[in-house]
Order: sequence, then structure tokens, then C-alpha cells
Amino acid sequence: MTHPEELLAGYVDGTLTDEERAVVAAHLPACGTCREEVELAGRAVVALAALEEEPVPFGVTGPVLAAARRTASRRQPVWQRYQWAAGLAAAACLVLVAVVLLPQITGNGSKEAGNARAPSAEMTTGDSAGALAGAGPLQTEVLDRNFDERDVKRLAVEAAKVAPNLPQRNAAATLSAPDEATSCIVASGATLDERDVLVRMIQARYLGTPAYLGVFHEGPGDGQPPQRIVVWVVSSADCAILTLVSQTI
Amino acid sequence: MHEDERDEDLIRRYLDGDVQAFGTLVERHERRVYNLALRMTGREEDAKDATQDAFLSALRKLKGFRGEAAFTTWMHRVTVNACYDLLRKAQRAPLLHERDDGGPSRPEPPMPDHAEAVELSIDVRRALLSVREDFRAVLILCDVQDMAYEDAAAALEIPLGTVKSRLHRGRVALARALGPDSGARERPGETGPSDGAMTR
Repeated sequence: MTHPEELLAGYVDGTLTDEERAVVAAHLPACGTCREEVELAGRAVVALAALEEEPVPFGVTGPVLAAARRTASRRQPVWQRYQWAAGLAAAACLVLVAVVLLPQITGNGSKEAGNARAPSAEMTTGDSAGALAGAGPLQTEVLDRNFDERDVKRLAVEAAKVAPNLPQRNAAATLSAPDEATSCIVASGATLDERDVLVRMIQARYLGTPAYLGVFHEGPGDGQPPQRIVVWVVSSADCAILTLVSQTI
Repeated sequence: MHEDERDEDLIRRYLDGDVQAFGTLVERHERRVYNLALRMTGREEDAKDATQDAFLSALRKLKGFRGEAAFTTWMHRVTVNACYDLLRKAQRAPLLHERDDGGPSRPEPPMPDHAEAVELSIDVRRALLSVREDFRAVLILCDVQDMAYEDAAAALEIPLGTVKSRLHRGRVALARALGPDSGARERPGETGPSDGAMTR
């Protein structure tokens, strides 16, 4: 017997034309197999429709976005990728001052202090990017802590909460600071430009791997408020990107 | 950036250097991609890997995306292929992450409504994984994600008739894996390679 197999799904779904439906209707009374299959197929449709969509776990698309940034960075013309360097040049004398004077001001202790922060003028709050409210150099916080995806997300959320109270920092000056952690994030291929403002740097572990966690404000630039927090996590051993989390402000 | 901005426009903006446009594209599609992968592989870890592989693959090929098919359709194709690759590499039968015991089971004695619904859902997911992969892909696209036959055919790059045939045969296989009173004999060729003919 010839069975109208290609029509049976449409018959169950009610999507057949009148002509096609007539073909199936003429076939079914004489074919117990197809009758049974139509009944089974109807039950399957009901069962599958009851399957609920599940939320996407944290961290799944972070590496994808990191790759997108790297790819976009490679595609950008060189002058665009390094246009922030113009600001760097303009700030060169300030950087020079920072390089020369910073060790004297801080006792050269960006990592020696265990949990070092920026100088006292910037340490206005206990635990957040708000500690960096000045124009001075950003210091790396060294934490004996193992972050996971959820922790990094939380870091971004916390930074987003306090973001409106933070003044804009000069991205070029920040990135030009003689800071190993910042250099590592830049070397990782993270796409940073004049719109990304480093507000917090942490040295800790991520899923057991020694890592730097850089918290950035991302926005339209030109003195406009940031729109998003981006946390780059890179291995401190080889500067490879471990994950990336973004949080809309 | 507008929520109703077309995928094609987001792609163009990303190719022009706007990374956030790709982020928007990912946010827009990640849920469907992840759930397709989850239903195909049956393991959360595999679904996460397949989702990443799919988006990374899409990223690599984005420059060559010509817009002949909708981005959604194209993304589903990339995701199904990522799942096939992953399942092939793993060379293992997919399992539900919630439970790793044997075949389909039904609650007994009767359970409260919510628990019963959860158990039924687990049974459906397990039954789905017992359906062969090419039938399963069609079932997920058409019956779980409500994709039109034509779009499923485009996503899977198979003829429309094959989609209809696989959909019907997949449904029958699923119902047989599920139902206590569906122990009817399998049709010859149900698990075989044949597709889409008006006769069998």
C-alpha cells in the first residue's frame, strides 16, 4: 500500500490544502497503520509543545563577545585602533610625572600592600569602583579570592550600581600607567579604546587560574556618562582572555 | 540601537566595527540557540559548548553572510551543525543532565500536579533524545521552536518533503518512546536512512 507520509505531519498540524486533505481522508479509513500514526503524532505534538524554554546559564556567551571584540579590533584600520594614542601623547608629560613620582607617593606598593588601593584621596568608599573617584593612578587590588562566573557578574552589577557617581577618567592616561595588570589586559587582545575607562583592577584567581580582572566603563565617550560595565578577565600568566562579562548601567 | 533593528543591519554595523551590534545580535538569539542545543544534546555542558561553538562559527562566517536566508534560519543551521559535530566527537549517547539512569520512566504512584508536570517534562526530554538525530532536529525546530516547515528545510538544508516526512516519523518515534499504550510495532525503515518518499 502507498502511504501519504509527507502529508501526515500537515494533516496533524492542519496545514494541508483541501486537495491534500482529501487524499489523506480517503486513505485513512483503509489504513490502520496511518490512523494509528496520526494519533501518535498528535500526542507527540502536545508533549513537545509543553517543553519550556530554559534560561541561558551565566558566562556562555562571554568568550564569544571577547572573540567578537578581538575580530573587530583586527578589522579596524590601525589609525582607528590606536587613536586613543593621540590622547596618550597629549598626556605624556602627566604620565612621566606619574611614573617618576608614583613610587614616592605610594611607596612603590601597588602589589606590595596586599590589598592596595589608590592613594588616600581616592579611597572614599570601602569596596567598589567608587574608591577610584580621583584623577590619580589606578592601583591593582590584590585579593586572595577565587572568582567564578557568578562572582564576575556580581562585580559588574556592583560597578553598574555606583557608576553614575564616578567621574570620567582619562582612558589614555589610565592605560598608559606602568601597570602590569593593565598591560596584560591590553595585550590579551581586549578591544579598548577611548570610550573604555578602567575603574577597577583586581588581581586574584578565576576558576583557579591566576588572573587580572579589569572593570571598565564603556560609553559613547566625549564626556558622556557610561552605558555599560565590561569586566575583562585575563590570565596573569599568559594574558589570555578567560571570560568577559558586560552589564548595562 | 533599537530593539527592532533588523539582524542584517546589526551585522552590517558589526562588520563596520561596532562590537556592541554583535552583542545585541547574540543577546537576541542566545536563548533559542541554547535551547536548541540543549534539546539536541540533552546535556547542559554540551549545550553550552555547542552554543559557544555556534556563535563563534557564525562570527567567523559573518562576513560571508549574504542574507539569502534570514539570520535566524542561518543561525539555526550553524547551531544544528555544531550539535552534530559535538555529538559525533563525543561518540556517546546524549543524556539528560537531570538524570542519568536508563530509558523512559513514568511517575508511579501519582504525584502532585507540579511534580507530575516536571516528571512528564523530563520524560519528554528523554524520549526526544531517543529519537535519531536528524529526526530530532526537525522535531525541535518545528514542534518546540515553532519554525515553519519551509524555514526548517532552509535551516537544515534538506528538501521540504524530507522535513515533512522526518517530522511525522520523528513524532511517531517520540510518542512510542513516551506512551505506555503506544507499543505498536515500528514501521519498517523508521530508524533507517530513508526519507521523504510518498511510498515506503
